[in-house]
Amino acid sequence: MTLTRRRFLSSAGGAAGLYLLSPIAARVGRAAGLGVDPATAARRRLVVIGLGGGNDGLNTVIPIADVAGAARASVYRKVRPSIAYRPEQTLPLDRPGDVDHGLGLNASMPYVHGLYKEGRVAIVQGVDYPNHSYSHFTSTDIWHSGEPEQGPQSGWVGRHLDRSGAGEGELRAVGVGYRLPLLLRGEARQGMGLINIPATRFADGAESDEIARARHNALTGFGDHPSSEVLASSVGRGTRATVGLVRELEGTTVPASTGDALADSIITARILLERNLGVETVYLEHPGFDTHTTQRPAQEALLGQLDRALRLFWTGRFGETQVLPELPAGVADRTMVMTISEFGRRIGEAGAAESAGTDHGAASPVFLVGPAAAGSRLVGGLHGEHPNMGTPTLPADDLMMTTDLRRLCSSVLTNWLSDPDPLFRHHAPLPGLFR
Amino acid sequence: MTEPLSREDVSSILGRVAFGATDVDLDTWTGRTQDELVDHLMAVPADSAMFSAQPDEVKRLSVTAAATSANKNNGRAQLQAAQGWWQERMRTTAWPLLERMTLFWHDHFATGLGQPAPDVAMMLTQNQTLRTHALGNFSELLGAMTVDPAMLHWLDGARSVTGKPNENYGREFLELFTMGVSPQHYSEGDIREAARAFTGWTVNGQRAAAFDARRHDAGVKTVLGRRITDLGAEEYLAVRDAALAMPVTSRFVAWKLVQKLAYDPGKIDVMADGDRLVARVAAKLREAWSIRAAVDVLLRAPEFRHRPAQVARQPVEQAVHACKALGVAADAVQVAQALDGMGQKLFEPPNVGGWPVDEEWLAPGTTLARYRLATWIEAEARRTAGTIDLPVGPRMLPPSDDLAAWAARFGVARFTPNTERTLRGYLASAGKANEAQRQKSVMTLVISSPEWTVM
Repeated sequence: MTLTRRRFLSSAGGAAGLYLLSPIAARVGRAAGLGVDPATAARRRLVVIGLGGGNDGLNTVIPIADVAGAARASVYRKVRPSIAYRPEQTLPLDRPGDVDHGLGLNASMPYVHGLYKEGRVAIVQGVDYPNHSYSHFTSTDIWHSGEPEQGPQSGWVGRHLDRSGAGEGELRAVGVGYRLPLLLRGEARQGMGLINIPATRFADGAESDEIARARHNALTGFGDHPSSEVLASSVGRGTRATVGLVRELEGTTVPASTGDALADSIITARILLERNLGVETVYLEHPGFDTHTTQRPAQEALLGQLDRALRLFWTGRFGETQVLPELPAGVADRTMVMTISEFGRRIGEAGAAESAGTDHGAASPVFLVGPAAAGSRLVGGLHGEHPNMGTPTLPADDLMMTTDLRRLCSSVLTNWLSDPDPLFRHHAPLPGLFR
Repeated sequence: MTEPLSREDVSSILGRVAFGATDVDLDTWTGRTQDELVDHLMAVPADSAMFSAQPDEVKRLSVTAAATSANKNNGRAQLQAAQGWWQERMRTTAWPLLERMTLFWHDHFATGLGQPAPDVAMMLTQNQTLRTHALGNFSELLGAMTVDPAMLHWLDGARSVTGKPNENYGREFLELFTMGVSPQHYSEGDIREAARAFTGWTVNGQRAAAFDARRHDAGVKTVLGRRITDLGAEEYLAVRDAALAMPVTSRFVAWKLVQKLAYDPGKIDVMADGDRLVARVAAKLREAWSIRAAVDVLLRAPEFRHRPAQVARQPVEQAVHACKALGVAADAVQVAQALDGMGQKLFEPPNVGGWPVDEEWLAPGTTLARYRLATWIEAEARRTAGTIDLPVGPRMLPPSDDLAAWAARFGVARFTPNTERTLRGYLASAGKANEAQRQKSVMTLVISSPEWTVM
């Protein structure tokens, strides 16, 4: 819901954010070949993919066998007569030496499965927060802010931007899409949103460069003097930042569209991460997971898209085409991808059998995909406990939290971005998730 | 309100509820009273037959069962035709407030195309229903939306059955369409019970809502404390009435009217520390659920004119206003494409929550798409200038250095000193640019200016 979105701008500091992150001078300087601080190139990077709508965890990480004390697969098959997967329809998640978890991965994710076997994928089970909200909008805000109690004020990456203090001239966090997600909004600083690189240019047709440049230069003038009106100031600074962004990205060559929205966003993310612009976090949205009806084909298509996008991210391959080179070692060694989704879905199916789906639920698994295992901080495998599903005679209605979202955020901030958030001081990082 | 309207007042009011002022509007209404302007805006016929879709408009869209079939490209062309039709209607209507309110309800009951349904034909049917009730009765509108064919597809009511009710519509009915969550006055149990009461409504082969008693859950339900017993096809009306009986409903709808048309009241407890204007609009709405009466209270309020904060106009409002300023038709595919780039496609909201507000419209992509729109409109105005199509036809561009004429043409009372400086700075540094290029630049700068984007 839109109730909260104004608040981050209610302080003068918030209004200053976009400006601080993108003064023209710094951008033009870099475009002229001055390069970035080597320290920014050495930063660890985080790509967050939002599975919008609420991904069904049970049909992603699928109960295939009952295990001691938990008749998960029996309950699963009983309450999902139309949409359950049979064990042989899944990809096994047990690795040599693992205890038997009785879980399989959705077969639409073969690439992720391969990485899982290599130990590069951590699956954190049962992630949620206390007093769960079943509202898309409220729950998305909480996943982005990590603040279930006070109500969302800022994003957990946005607050990292606040603390980093070094935002001058940096394009440190980028949201790909029309909206800048709450995740990237801090109290005093915020990331930059862009739709895609080819669209990040001015449409000047056949005009000469000189004629067009004069107009672009003039546009920056709107950012010169803040108005007493918060929004008017925001327009001015946003326009000026846009000119800077266009100049920053000028001359960037981008592969042709793949025809797949998520894959195209991944291409954008890769270019931003590789071009030494100081980009640290990229947020991508992969919507459509609100599968109240005809869930199986819909979710398979979406998870398949996710799998192909992750393959494109690391290998540069999309289908049979080498769209980009392999992710360069300098970036691949220090980049982690994380999926988030506002909630999982309920245990039982809803709607008529031929078009069954699931309603909004609570806890769901989070995927973290790290660098090649040797030297990676991320510890692959299953983490946390699978939520209780009840018994075949008395099935649970919903999956309840086994991992507190705030501990997961705390882990990523502390162990990956090396910047603990005081807000999570009572939420220790999860043991064993990172080395 | 007898204090005469300033030029700024006229610009702002028409910018928010009438797709922008023209230079004629600024001259006409400055110095008159807020009540006089509101009387004018509210002069929309009460009889909705007066503004039903014109047969030739429908014909032009060729929206037939065959045309909106599975052919995806055909569907895209249909969508662009439908978008263009509504954009042009917004530009040329004699009752801009009616179209603005239709857009408000499209955002409130946000429904979008789906595969395979809802299709464009269903979306146009819903659009006409929204227009019929846009200034009518909220209770009737809410009932009509609950069994609207596009909505039954969009929020899965059409596939909800007894025994396995689908909660999607029940949840959004309470969260987004009636009660809101600030604070939440309903429980998960109310959602489940409402979903049971809504079962049975589906869409038939003629794209019409139909009640199938075999799919309906005939058991007793309790929604918001009200027992619903064996009302069959009428149960959705019982749920509606239960929601309307909750005091928070009128507050939430009023909050949204204020947020979208006046200023963002922020995240408030709409019951406890509610904004005073929200409370007054809500009280009027609750009397008889007359939207017209509630909007009348809002538009005549002193706070509607002297506000604590401004609002960012939606892209479609900006695009229609820009077309209006230069007399360029708003139904061209380029306008819909620019709106796509700005993140606002009519009949395709981002999700059931509708479109964003305020600074969320200010991402770089929006700025660049608006720039693209400006260059297209300028070229289109130049191409069509001289053809006679008054009163909404092409108009000549003002000379590049007549900044007062540019402000007036684009419905801006006067430029801020910074914008004035920016425009003068451009003209001084435009170098080899010829007059046409300068005009194009000035126009682009005007519609990128803070005072045009935020009103």
